[in-house]
Amino acid sequence: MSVQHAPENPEVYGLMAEFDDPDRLVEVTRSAYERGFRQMEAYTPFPVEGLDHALGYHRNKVPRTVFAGALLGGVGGFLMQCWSAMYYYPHNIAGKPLYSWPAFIPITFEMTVLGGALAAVFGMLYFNGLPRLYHPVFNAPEFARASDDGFFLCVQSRDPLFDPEATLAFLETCGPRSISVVPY
Amino acid sequence: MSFDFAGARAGADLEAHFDVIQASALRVGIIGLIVSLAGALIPVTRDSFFPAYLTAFLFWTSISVASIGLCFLHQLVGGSWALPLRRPFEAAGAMIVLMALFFLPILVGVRLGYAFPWADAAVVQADPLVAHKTKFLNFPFFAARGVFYFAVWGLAAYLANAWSRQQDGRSDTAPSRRLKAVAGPALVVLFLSTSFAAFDWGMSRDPDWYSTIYGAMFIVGAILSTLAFATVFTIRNSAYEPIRSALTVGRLNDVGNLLLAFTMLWAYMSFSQFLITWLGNLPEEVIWYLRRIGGVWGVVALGLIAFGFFAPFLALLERQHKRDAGWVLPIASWILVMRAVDLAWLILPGYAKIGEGGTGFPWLGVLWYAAALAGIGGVWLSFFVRRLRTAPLIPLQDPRIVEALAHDHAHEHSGGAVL
Repeated sequence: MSVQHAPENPEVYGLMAEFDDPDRLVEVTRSAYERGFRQMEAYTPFPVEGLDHALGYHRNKVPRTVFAGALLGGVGGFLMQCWSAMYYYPHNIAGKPLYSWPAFIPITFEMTVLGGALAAVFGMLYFNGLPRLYHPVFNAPEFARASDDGFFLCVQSRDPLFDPEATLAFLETCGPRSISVVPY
Repeated sequence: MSFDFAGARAGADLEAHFDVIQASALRVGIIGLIVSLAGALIPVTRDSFFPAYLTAFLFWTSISVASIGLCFLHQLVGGSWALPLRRPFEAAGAMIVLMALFFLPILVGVRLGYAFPWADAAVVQADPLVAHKTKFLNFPFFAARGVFYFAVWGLAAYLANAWSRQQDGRSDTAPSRRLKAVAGPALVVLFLSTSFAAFDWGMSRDPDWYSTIYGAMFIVGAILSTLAFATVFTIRNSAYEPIRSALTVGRLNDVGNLLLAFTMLWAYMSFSQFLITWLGNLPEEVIWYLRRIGGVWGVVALGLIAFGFFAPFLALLERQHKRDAGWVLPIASWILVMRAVDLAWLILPGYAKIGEGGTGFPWLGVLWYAAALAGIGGVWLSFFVRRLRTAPLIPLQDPRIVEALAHDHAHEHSGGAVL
């Protein structure tokens, strides 16, 4: 298959190289990053320590989302109890004041956990771009092995340094099991 | 990262550093004990001295007992987080023998009628509720229970130390197998005995009151103190091998997570007791809190919520903080300080009849508390270091450690970088 330079030929998603072991993948990813490639993604059957750093992936927005969700859940839960106990359905319970904050704490705690957990799940999905019905990487042959014993690195055509021949030549020097062109 | 067996011992520079710690800790300890002795000998200060001494005794005893528990806990759960902490835990556990000696002044105090309200004949005569409890809370039975606790803890500390050290330098794992076999039952025995000791030495300061969660609350606090102490000690010595190689960023992160978890658990236990008492609103239950929220003690209580829980909790939430010794060291030191404040808040406030109000804030007691903390602590730290250096600083032959290191090597280079 012959491929044109990326901007003129957007139907190429990228070049996918498959490696036999995780350490090799991390090495290759690191050297690709040093060459200036930024629009890359790696696919492995299990989390590979150090791969995120090799990809230049440092910022994770999920923790901050979780904190915001937990704060919202906690404050919201507390205010909800204040509102229901003091205004909506004021009731004398065991002679306690309507504003009985110690009794509100367990629910506040639970709502904090709930807010944090929901923010974690949906924040993770959102930042991962999920749900997604179609993704071009599944066009790569043998890609199913990414969930078995294959370790893949995909250099995407939208990377400014992407050049079909040069990038292919570079990946070939890295000793992959196979390289394939990923169409859209 | 790899260790060889000779490398697990302290090098000459660390040995020299340990010499300095031992000598200066002992000096501080002796000065503190001399000041404490003055408090015990002057008759008019005995009222404020013995409770303060008891509190300091509980601070260091709780670290010793919880250290034994953490040794056994590591046998059950494994993991490489304990790699730099196991030997400090063992050495701290062995200090229970020292704490048995420091228990003697408390027995003297009880005999003379100080330290606990039930030991005071005037209180027993005036308060039928306390008089009723003297079947359990009397000097001979109290002393016998104390001897029993120390016998149990001494045996547990001996097993945790001896079998772990037998494992050094041999390839079969017989001692570790024995250690693992007793770990589960030992934890049950340690939990129950420490819970009862907390009832005897802490809760019976208010003999007209009771709480079943008190023992668990005390134990969680003790584990928090121990983790904080071991963290401070390890980070402060992490410039030297082999501690430097053992305390990786990944393990520091684990320790930070443990500090966070136990800070939350301590708050959870403390709040559970408060909430149940508050909801019940019964005079015989709220009296304990009334003694602890008036005047200066009320300020201390608010301080514990803000600086004992929220400050370390928020600081430890951030992952980057847990991976940076520049953050973990001050946080763990701060937790240790707040543990001492929390124990003072639990133990010191005076027993008083309902309606009579408290006995005020024991300013003199705070002085004795500081002196006894430094006195017992200095001697404790000196003997702790002496004990620590008699064995390799990392139990490399322990199968739990071997397992954890192999796992680290296979999956992450990670216990990660050294600090």
